[in-house]
Amino acid sequence: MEELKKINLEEIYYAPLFNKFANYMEKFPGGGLILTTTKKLFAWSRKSSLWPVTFGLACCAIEMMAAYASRYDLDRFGVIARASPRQSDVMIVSGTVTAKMAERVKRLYSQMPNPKWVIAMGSCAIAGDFYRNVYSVVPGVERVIPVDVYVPGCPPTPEGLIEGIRKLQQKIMEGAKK
Amino acid sequence: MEEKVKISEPEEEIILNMGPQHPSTHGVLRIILKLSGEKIVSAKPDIGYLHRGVEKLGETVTYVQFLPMLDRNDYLSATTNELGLVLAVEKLANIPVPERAQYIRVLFSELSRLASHLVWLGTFCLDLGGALGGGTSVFLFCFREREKILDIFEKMTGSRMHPHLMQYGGVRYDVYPGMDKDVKEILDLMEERINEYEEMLVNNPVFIDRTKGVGILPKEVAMEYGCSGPVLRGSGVKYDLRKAHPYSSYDKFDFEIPVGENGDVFDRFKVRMEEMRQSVRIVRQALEGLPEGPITSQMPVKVKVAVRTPPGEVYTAIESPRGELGYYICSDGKPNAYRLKIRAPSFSNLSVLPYLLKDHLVADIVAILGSLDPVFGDVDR
Amino acid sequence: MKREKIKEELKLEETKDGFLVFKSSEFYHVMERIKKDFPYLSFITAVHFPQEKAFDVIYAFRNIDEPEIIFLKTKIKEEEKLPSAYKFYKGADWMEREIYDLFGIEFENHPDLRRIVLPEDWEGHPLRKDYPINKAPEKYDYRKKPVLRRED
Ligand code: SF4
Repeated sequence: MEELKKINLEEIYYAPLFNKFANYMEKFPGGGLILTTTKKLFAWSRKSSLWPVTFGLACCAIEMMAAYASRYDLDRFGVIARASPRQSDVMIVSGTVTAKMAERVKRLYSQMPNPKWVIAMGSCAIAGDFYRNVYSVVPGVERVIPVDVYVPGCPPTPEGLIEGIRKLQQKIMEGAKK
Repeated sequence: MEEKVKISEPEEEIILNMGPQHPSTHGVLRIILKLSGEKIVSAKPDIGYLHRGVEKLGETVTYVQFLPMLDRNDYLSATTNELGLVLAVEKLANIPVPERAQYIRVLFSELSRLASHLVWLGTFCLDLGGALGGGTSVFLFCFREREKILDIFEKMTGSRMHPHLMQYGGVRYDVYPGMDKDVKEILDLMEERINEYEEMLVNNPVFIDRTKGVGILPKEVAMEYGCSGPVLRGSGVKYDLRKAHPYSSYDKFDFEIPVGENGDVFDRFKVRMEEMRQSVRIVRQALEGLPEGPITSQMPVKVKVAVRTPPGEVYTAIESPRGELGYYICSDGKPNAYRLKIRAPSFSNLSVLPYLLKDHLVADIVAILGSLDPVFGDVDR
Repeated sequence: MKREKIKEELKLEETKDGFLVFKSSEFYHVMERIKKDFPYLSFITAVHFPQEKAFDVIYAFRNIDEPEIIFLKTKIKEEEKLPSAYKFYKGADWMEREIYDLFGIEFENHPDLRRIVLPEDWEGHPLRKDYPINKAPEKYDYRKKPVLRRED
């Protein structure tokens, strides 16, 4: 009997969930309810299923593909590539944006439904890499569309991209706290 | 194949725009299609969405600075890009290359050929995808093997995709201790896996239906358009620069050149599969015969003007995974080129696309395009 | 060697790097002869010489059966036009379009001479020596456009 009392009821009921979301959710005192704001709930569900639009530009796209594939497996984070911009939430700009492509990038971005985020992957998308002075290159995609997360590297490793996605998830949750 | 679906002729032609953001265009290609029903009347590819002005850049920066930039050109097989330029400059400036360096160059060129063909196979099957019932699994398998090859690049040079391995007069890195064990492990695995993939695909009736007899490229047309590499060999022309004009001691290696018969998508697939087997053979020989000695004839490059060429012109070509990759350099004696032209294999291979697409169905586009294996960093430069 | 034979037959001069020089007025004659022995067009390119206001246009052909390569070269003035090789080699289509795009050399009798890699309303020809590397038409010059930031 003594032992039974020691067991923490909280652990039984919500241990797995509670630990994970302790930061965002409050426990109703004494009851089995979890309270949260809808804002936080939406943000949580958004961050757990970020669907990027399949959109490769250059070398970085190959590393992005490697991140989707066997060893790195982005599906674990709920990141599943969608072919259509209308079904996606995040755009991973992976590669050099040229002047000819810039208009298309902008249009793709405007076709995505809100809320939407942009990850600039690689030095090219961040600032144009060593092509920044070339006539046909846009020095950084931020001159075309606003960027949320920058992932440096040429190309960034898949681990780098995963870190970028985790940063974006953090950003989404922090946005909901405000 | 006889029982193709009969399509009644519609009266009107429509214009359909495919790309530049399309999951199956292997990058940023736009094709403007004129369709009559499902049939393609004419196709106009629109390229240049990845034009980064590499040739202009090559005139403004020195040879030493330009070498790492070239990695980004044909990004699936970075080492062969470097090899081409390095050979051209060495020929013009008469720089000797030690034999060990030549062997290391061959070794890594072939490893990157393997990696490149693996990406091709993966994406090609992903595009055929839905109909194949498990196209995605081939993609996942191929990337699994590719990661293992990239690991060797990473261990050797510190970078997975853009190794910057070459330097004028040799290579920058010697093989690390224990590399032959790593490589042999992969080769054994690859030999097994190549057979497995081929069996898996060739015994799949859907795959055969979608590739056999589709996109036939006759020999003469392939030559007129300047197609090279597996596209040319798939049409039955036995031509490989590694045999025809051996460079970097390729003449000391024993390998065969696979050729196709009909020049359709299936033949190009076959040729590439066989090429992977031959690459495995070459890597094995390179590992076994790796001679002792220095890895470079020059001092390690510290300053950017370290390499100068005498005035003159030179053209050298190598066999990259996509075909004839050539560099034409016109030099006026400065440490940078006066004019640097890159003869890109993908550019010529892709120019045959309008010919191939004519009178095919829309669904065949991805099969045909995939079989040409264009890399857009290479097409647009 | 086929190359030597052609050199003698057409009475071409050779530069010190092994490029055979022909006059652009003899273009069709030369191409016809080359096509017989060298059925594979490898590449066409150009080099700009601003002091002389001239271009070197370079052609490379290959013989597949007996591995051999031949380089031809011709000099033209800046405003001069060159006949198109499309009649003999279909691959010349895109190669000449690329030269037209980046150098501004026009080819006569080309089936579809448009810009190929740059947008159609681009001004200037970037691979000419007098074209600075960072120049772009107003519409496409993103270096001058402001950086966009997220508001939040
Ligand atoms: S950042 Fe580097 S790897 Fe990525 S697209 Fe640019 S050049 Fe290629």
